[in-house]
Amino acid sequence: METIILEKITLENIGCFVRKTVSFSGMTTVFGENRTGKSTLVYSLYFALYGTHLNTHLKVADLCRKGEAAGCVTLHFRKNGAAYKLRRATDALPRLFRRPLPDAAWEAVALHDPDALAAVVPVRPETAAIGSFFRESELIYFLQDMPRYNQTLLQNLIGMDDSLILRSRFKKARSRARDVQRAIAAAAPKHLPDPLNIELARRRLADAENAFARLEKTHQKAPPERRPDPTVYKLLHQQHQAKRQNLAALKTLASRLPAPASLKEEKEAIETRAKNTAETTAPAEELQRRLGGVTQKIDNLKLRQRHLEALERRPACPVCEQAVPPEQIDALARKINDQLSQAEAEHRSIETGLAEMRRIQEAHALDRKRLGEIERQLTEIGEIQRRIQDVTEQISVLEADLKQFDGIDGGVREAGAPFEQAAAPEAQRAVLQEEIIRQRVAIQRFEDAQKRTEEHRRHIAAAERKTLICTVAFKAVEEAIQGLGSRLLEKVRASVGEWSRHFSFLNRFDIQITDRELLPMIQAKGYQYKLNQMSKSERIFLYLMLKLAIGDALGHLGVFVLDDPADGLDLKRKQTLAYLLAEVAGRRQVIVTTNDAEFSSLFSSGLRQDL
Amino acid sequence: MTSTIDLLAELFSTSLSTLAAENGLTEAETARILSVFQQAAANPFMTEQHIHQRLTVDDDPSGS
Repeated sequence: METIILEKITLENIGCFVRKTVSFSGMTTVFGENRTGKSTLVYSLYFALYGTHLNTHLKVADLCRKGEAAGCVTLHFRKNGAAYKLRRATDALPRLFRRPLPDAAWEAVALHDPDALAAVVPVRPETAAIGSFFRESELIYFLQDMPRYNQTLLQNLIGMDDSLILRSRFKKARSRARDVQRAIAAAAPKHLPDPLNIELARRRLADAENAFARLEKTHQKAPPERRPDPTVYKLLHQQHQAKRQNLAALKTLASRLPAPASLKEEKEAIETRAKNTAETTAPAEELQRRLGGVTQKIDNLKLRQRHLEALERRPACPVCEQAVPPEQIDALARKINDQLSQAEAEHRSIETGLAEMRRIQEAHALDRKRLGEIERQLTEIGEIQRRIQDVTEQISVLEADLKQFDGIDGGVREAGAPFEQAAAPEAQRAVLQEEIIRQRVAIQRFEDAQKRTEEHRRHIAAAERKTLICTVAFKAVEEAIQGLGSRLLEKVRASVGEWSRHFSFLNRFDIQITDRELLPMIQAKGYQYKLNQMSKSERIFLYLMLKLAIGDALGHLGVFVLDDPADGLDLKRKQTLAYLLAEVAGRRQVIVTTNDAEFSSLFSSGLRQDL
Repeated sequence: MTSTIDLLAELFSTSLSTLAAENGLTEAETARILSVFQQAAANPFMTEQHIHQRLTVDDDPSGS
C-alpha cells in the first residue's frame, strides 16, 4: 500500500494565518485555544491534497483569510523515499515538485495538471475523507443522528448511498424497458388469420379463374346471340295499347266539340257587331248626364208653374205687392208650359236612348261571354289536336320498336326463355368475376396481416433483447453492490479484528469492545439500538476504530488526522484515547489537534506544535 | 488502493462478464452496458430515462 508521510505545511492567507508553517512527525499534537486555526489546519491539509474543502458544505474560497482574495497552501511530504512539494492556491491550479535526493533541485512533476497530481496522491478524496480524516462535526453526527435509510453502519460510513441510487436508476431503466416491451406486445394483432383459410381462398381463386377462362374461351368460339328482352317487349306492348286507347279517347272528345271554322266565323261576327255598335251609340255616361240636366230643368219649370198658379190666385208681386196683370201671367204660363213640354219630350228621348243603350250593353255582355266560350273551345280543340298529334307520334315510335320483336312468336315472347338463355353466360361471368375479386381481397388481407405480424415479431424480439440488456445491467449492478458490501465487510471485519487486538487495553478501562460486539454493529440494520446502549466515549472509540478499519479496507493516505477528538471526555478517557493514538502512530502517521492542554500533555513522545 | 466506486466498477465488470455470457449478449452489447454504467456512476444527473435510452439504443445507426 503506497502511503505518504507529511513533513510540513505552510499556510499563506488561510484562515486566521497570514503565514504559518507547521511541521509534522510520526505523532504530532497541535495545540491551540479556540479560534486559533486548528480546524483550518486540518482543512488545509485536505485542500492541499485534493483542492476541495473537507466540509462539503463549504467552498474553497471559505478557507481564505478574511479580506484576502486568495490563499495558498504548500505541503511537503515524502512518498517512496522521494520528497514532494505541493503548492496549491485557492484561485489557481496546483503545482507539484519532486526532489528524488535531499541535495537535488526541485523538479516539476505536475504543473497545472490535476490528473497528474492524482497519480501521486494514492487515495481518492472521498476515501481519504473516510479513512484518513476525523472531524469533530462527523463525530457529532455519528453520536447524535440516526443513520439514513436504515442502512448498516458500514454502508453509511463508506457512502453506499450513491451506489444504491445507481442501482435504483438501473432498476427503473429495466422497468422502462419492460413497459416498452409490454406496450409493443399489446399493440400486436390479437388474432392471426388461419393459414388453412388462406389456402382455401387460393384454391377458390384458382377455380374461379379457371372457370372464367373456360367461359371466355366458350364465348369467343360462339358469341352469344343478342336477343331482345321479352320483358321489354311486354312493356312496349303495354305502352302501345295504352297510347292507342288514349288516342281513341282524344278523338272521341274532339268529335264532340264544334267545328273550329264555325267557331271562328261566329267569333268574327261577334267582334264585328261589337265594333259597329260602339261606333253608333253615344256613351252611356253622356246620356245619363243629359238626363239629369233635363230632369232638373223639368223640376224647375214645374216649380215655376206652381208659382204662377199662386200668382193667378193672388196677382200681386210678393216683394213690392204691386198688381200683376192677368195677361202677363197667362203669357208667362204658356211660355213655361212650352218649355216644360220640350223638356219632357227631351227627357223621354234620353230615356229611350238609355234603354237602347242598356239593351246594347246586355247584348255586348252576352257577346263577350260567348266570345270567351268560343276562345276556350278553340283552345281546348287546339290542345286536343296537339295531344292527338303527340300520341300519334309516340304510337309510331312504339310500333317501330315493336317491329324488332316480329321474329319472335307469341308463345316464346310470353315465356322469355330465349333471352334468359342468352343472358345466362353473362350472369355466370359476373359471378365468377365477383368471386375472383373477393378471393384476391381475402388473400391480400391475409398477406398484409402476415406482414404486420412479422413486423410485430421483430419489434417484440428487439424489445425483448433490450429488456434483456437492461436486466443484465441491473443484475450486474445489484451483484456488484452485494459484492461491494460483502467484500468491504470482509475487509473491514478482518481489519477490525486486527485493530481490536491493539485496543485490548480498553479492558482496563471497563470498555468491552471486541470484534464480537463490533461486527453485528457494522452489518446489522438495528445497530443504533446498541449504540444507544453505549456511552459517548465508547462510541468515540468505536468510531475511530471503524474509520481505521475502513481505511485499511478502502485505502488511506498513511496519515490519520484528528480534529479535536477528546472533546467531552474525562481524564480517564483522554488517557485511553492518547494511549490508543500512540498505538495507531505505530502503524500510521497521526496528527491530532486539540484545545485541551491536559490532553495534549498526554503525548509525551510526539512532536507538539502550538498555534 | 480503490475507492468505493472503483471497487463497485470492478465488481460490476466481473459480474457483467458472467451475466453477458450466461444470457448470450454480444461483445458490443456488453461494452455498451459497461460504458453506460461508467457514465451513470460518473454523472449523478443521469436519470433512468437516459440509462434506458443509452442501453437500448440500436446498434445500427441507420435504425434499420
